[in-house]
Amino acid sequence: MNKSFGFRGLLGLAGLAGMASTHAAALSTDVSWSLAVASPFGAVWGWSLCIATALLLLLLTVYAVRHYIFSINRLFGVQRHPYASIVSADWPQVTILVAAHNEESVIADCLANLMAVDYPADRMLVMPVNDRSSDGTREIIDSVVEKFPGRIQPFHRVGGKPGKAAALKDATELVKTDFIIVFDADYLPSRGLITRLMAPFVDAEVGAVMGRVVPNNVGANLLTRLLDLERSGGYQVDQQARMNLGLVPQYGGTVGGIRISALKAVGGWHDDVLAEDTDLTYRLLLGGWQTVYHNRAECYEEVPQSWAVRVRQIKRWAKGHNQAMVRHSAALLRQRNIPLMLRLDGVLLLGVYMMSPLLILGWGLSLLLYFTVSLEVATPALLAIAFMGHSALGNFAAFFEIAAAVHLDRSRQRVRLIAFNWLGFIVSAVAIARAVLEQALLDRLPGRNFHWDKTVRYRRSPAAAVGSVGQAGPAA
Amino acid sequence: MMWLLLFGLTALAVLLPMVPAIVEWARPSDVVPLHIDNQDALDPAFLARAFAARLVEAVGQRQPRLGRSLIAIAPVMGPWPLNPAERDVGLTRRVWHAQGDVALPAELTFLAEVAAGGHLRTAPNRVYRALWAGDNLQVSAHNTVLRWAHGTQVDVAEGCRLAGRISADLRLTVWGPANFSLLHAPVIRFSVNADEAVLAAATPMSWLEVATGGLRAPVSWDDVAGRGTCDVALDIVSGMAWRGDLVCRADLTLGVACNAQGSLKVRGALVAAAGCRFSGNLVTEGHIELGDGCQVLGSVISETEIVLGRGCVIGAPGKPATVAAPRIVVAPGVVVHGTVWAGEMGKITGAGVPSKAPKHATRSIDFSSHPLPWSDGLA
Repeated sequence: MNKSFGFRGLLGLAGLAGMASTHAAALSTDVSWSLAVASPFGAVWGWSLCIATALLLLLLTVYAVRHYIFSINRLFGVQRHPYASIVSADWPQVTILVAAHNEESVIADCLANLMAVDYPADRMLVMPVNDRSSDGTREIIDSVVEKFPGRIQPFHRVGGKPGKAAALKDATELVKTDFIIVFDADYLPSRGLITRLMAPFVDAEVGAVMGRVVPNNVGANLLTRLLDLERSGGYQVDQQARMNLGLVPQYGGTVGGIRISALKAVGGWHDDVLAEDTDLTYRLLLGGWQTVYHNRAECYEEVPQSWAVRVRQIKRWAKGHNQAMVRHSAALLRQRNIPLMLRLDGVLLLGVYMMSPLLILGWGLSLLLYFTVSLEVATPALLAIAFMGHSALGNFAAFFEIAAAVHLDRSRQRVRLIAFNWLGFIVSAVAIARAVLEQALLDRLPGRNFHWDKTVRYRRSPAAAVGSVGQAGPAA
Repeated sequence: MMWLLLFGLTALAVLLPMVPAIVEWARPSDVVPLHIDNQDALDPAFLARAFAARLVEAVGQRQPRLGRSLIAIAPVMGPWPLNPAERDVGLTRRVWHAQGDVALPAELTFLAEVAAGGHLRTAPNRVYRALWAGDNLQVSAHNTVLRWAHGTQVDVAEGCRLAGRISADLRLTVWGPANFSLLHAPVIRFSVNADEAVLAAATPMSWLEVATGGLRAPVSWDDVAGRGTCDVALDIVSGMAWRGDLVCRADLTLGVACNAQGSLKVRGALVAAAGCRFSGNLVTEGHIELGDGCQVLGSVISETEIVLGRGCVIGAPGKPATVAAPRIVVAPGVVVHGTVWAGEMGKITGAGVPSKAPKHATRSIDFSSHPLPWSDGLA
């Protein structure tokens, strides 16, 4: 007779770890692999729920393992910084695009910082892409242009298709250099940033370069502090580990450089996408170009200071990312000249925003299992499921990643806030799930157009800042 | 009562891990944005220049110390004013400063910086922390430089261990075998007493006028991207010339005197025979081995090792370049315009360097057997 125990379904992914440890201690060592399922709604219902839950747990486990591998790689693995030592070069001409839509509060600081970088002044041209701004952005840009004759060539876009991709597409038509670097207007490029972003282009296979984003308004409130931790995990561990492992670092649409010949070879900017950065990353990959990450090309940015803004921002990212997933997953899996691990990780990266709705779905399935299915499960299976449940809470592995990043950044006290990341995680999960539902259902309704939610800026440095152009530091 | 206890214990289990977070939230102690280095450590001479500026300021203000080290004035002529302890152990921890030229005494190891407004010459077989010369710097034979050394022109004698950054405003010459980490100057010459025939072979770069065009398998050409790609190991025969970047996702071997008007990216190892010329950059994940007299206008970057044969020239006057890899081996007669940065070990040999050509079977593709529109043999 098998010494197994029965319980009413799965309490939920969260509870499993605790339940497993409690029950496992009480169980005998008699190992069995039997599984019996019964439900008042029938066997099909019971088995369907079990299989769906198991598949979700498997998927969550894959992501959890992936995050653990990334963290362990960053903590103990061989680190790849092949372009960090490039000090001397005959630096090529580059055009720096600064995407700006109603950015009167921040654009002057960004341009001021760009005028102070150490890249040869005669080899860089700054092109603010003023995309149909209705505030004072145009006047501020023009006043900075007057102070630096010949170094800034503004592109005031007054019509055309809305959206950053469309604006960049039009601006790129005017570019005469072999490379471009893209910033959002709230970014504060550091002195050596352009040189560092250009260094990887000595590699003829590199189509795009991504730098590291560092929040500068970290001290504003709890949200900014949590986002600071998330950014650290995302860049210091996630992006760099993918670089180390030869996987797919992602071009993030800002603090990044692009080789124009690569861009043209893969079809230029697509103005019908919601996330031109993710879309471009995968088109470059499919076209045989590498996107590389430079962890020491760091740039300050402004992160959302209100939860409402954060929710809108992550919903926008989720929709764009999922659109790229639909467009590129199958093509990537079919591309046999790309190593298998790279393809798999690429698909996992594309699916990362689907995990939130799937996780919420998993919670729902677990409740249904609990109330509608009588499950008799064997001991080893319980332990396995317990581990999966642990990972499902999603992401403990991601929190481990954040902790590793904070350690690598040699930060000290801020790691204590990691317990609050539950809050950010839950908010993000719900927001992303809503975004997926909207995208799958509501956005397809006739007459419903995509509305671009511009991220609110908090810094207040309007035209007055133009009078004192210099290196703008972080807001401490 | 039991329910209350259970609820309390549960709440405690949930909230206990939150205590540090709540404390940090209520009383923020770490809210400064992560530091971004605006001084930029990518300037190899930064440490030297920063020291020189701080020293000038300290001397001008007659400060007795620079940081934690006492400042001492080095004599232009005559005996050095060493204290008894320094004299006994042959070691000084003071920062020595001279307005004009100075030659460092033979019996002394300097574990703090030494600066001279004019020429500075070290003594053989000694250890120095850091050396700064307003004019020329001569690093004598078998010296060890721990942190950095900088001068207008820098000459390094044989047998030195250059653990720190060595930089020069105009020219840096290493006259014999040595170990190094980072060398930086508009012109860096290695063992210039090399075979004259090798040096003579390093003539200025010239290019054939070759057109781009479609490539045959296994190289596929993308006209829009302006590059060819190849997924198998490639062996290009001697004297071939082409224009455009070439990406090889395996090993690449080039015969004598190949001429590439573009950059090379190789996922495996790159071995180029003598006299090859490249107008762009060479970047590999495997090792790079350049034969005697090769010339590269761009940078040479490897994730493992670079071996530069005799008389190789990297970069050009006014077109600086970087040679960077964990391990770098340099033969006599090499000239680099820019920077040589060995992450783990840099070595200058007294003679040529042995080949590390791939031992495994390479799929040899002889382009000359089926002439390509994009290639042309060199005379």
